[in-house]
Amino acid sequence: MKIDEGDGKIVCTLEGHFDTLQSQELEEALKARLKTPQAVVFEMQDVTYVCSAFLRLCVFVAKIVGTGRFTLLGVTPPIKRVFKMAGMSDLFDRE
Amino acid sequence: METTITEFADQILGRAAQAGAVFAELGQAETDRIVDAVHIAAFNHRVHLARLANEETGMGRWQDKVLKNVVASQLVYEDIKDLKTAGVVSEDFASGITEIAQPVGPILAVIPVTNPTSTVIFKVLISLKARNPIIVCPSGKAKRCCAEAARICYEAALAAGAPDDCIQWLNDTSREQTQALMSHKGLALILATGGTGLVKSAYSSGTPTLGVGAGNVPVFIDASADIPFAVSQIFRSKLFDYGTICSSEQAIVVEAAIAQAVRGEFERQGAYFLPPEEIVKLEAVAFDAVKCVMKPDIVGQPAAMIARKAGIAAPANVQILVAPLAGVGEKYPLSAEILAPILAFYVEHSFTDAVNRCIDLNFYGGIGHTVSLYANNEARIKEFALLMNAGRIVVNTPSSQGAVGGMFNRLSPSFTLGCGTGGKNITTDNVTARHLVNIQRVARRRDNQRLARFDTALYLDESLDADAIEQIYNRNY
Repeated sequence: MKIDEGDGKIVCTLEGHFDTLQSQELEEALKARLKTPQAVVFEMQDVTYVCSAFLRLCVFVAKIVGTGRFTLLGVTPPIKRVFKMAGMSDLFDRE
Repeated sequence: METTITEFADQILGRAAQAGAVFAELGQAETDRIVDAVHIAAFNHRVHLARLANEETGMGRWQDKVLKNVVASQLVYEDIKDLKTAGVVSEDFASGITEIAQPVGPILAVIPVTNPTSTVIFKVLISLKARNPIIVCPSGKAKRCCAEAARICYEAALAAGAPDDCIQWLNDTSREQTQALMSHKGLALILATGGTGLVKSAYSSGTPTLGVGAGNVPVFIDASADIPFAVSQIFRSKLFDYGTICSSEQAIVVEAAIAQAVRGEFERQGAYFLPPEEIVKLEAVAFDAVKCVMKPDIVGQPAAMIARKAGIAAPANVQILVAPLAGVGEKYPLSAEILAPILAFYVEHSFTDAVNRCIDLNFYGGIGHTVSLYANNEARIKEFALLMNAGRIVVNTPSSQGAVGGMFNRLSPSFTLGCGTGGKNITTDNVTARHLVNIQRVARRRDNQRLARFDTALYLDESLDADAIEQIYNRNY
């Protein structure tokens, strides 16, 4: 997990099996940085699994920074399917 | 004196109850004779009924409706003829279980305007095969051809020994009358094929319903596919009855590397790719932006006619109108289901992006229905299939005919395609006769020997955990 901050934007490059522990770590790291208005990007290309804590974290981030300012990038089909099934696909701008 | 709505429903269901009671007395051989006779009568009237349906609805091509009637009669019959649906259907002495098939009871068959006579023939055959009386409730725009199809089937059924009123059909039913029938206590099941509103209304009636969901079929043409073949099959499917089947292709998704080749092949075979300003014109005639659904007057119409209506400069012999789009959703009306020779077209950078696009399309109004894939790479076929939410993932097959089954694969031929819970249905199956019986199981005593030897008092001992209990439970000496 890598977090870069600059130009009013936080970019989190995530990878691998994103379980509860990883989600908590990311949440802690973001809580210290998040302010409104601020854009947040999760780079998801190398993420192979997301747990429910990660979905909750996404909702939390979207709520803090505003839906339009939260972006998931490089989502792979298996993860995209998770967001579709969870009914959360409209929450995020994904490219 | 005028009949009240309740009396109307009571009369119809009263007759159906009597027919059902007599029908339940028949055995397998007698039932099969009736089904055989009905399928022959329907088959022999395939052209007459197709022409009637085409004339009355103004949709599709009568020649394709003939083929639909053939599927509904000949192929459905071949699929169900050997199925055991009456009395003891299986007996296993080892397990001690005997299965007995009983009819479910009177069935209300809701018939859509897009496939009227074929759906009547299909539903009549599967209902009679399971010894159920059926009440045919056609779309108001197809009542004459449906009545004719039902009459032909009924006369053949009676001549073969079926009970009176085993097939009834309605002519001019009001919404209130249909609802009274749907919620009548004497009705056993609704076979609801039609639009979302109608299916929802059937579910809301409180009567068990086998319904369908809406489709929005993406087609992914993989780099491993035979492109000319894939395009020819898509034409074969999308032009079949001018796209009235809900499993017809709605959007083509390709990787950039083969996009030019695919587009060239589409154009060579008679497709016209619309520039952005013509996409807007087509949206206006094809899509009702207020109701967020396709406009009914373009359903089942030829591309040239739709192009003229929209003021599009397509060649006079155009076969399919193709709209290159950048996204899926309300901003892109042609990304929704349109039952006419119109396709959306997406070019994606990679396999991953293409699959993501198909997921978007699949989830935009077509969950649980059908997706289509052209590929000669087994790993990709499986990867794609695992990520879709569809009752049918048809491979290297025209999806209209492929999803209906019987012609290009071994799916059960059906005009009621279950879409699973994603499509608000109870099954993803192609609905057929086996769904119209209640199976009773005679369960003879066959002691569970492990449980019989096990001291059940041990369950009361909290110091024994699951592993300890399992070891004792599974001792076999």
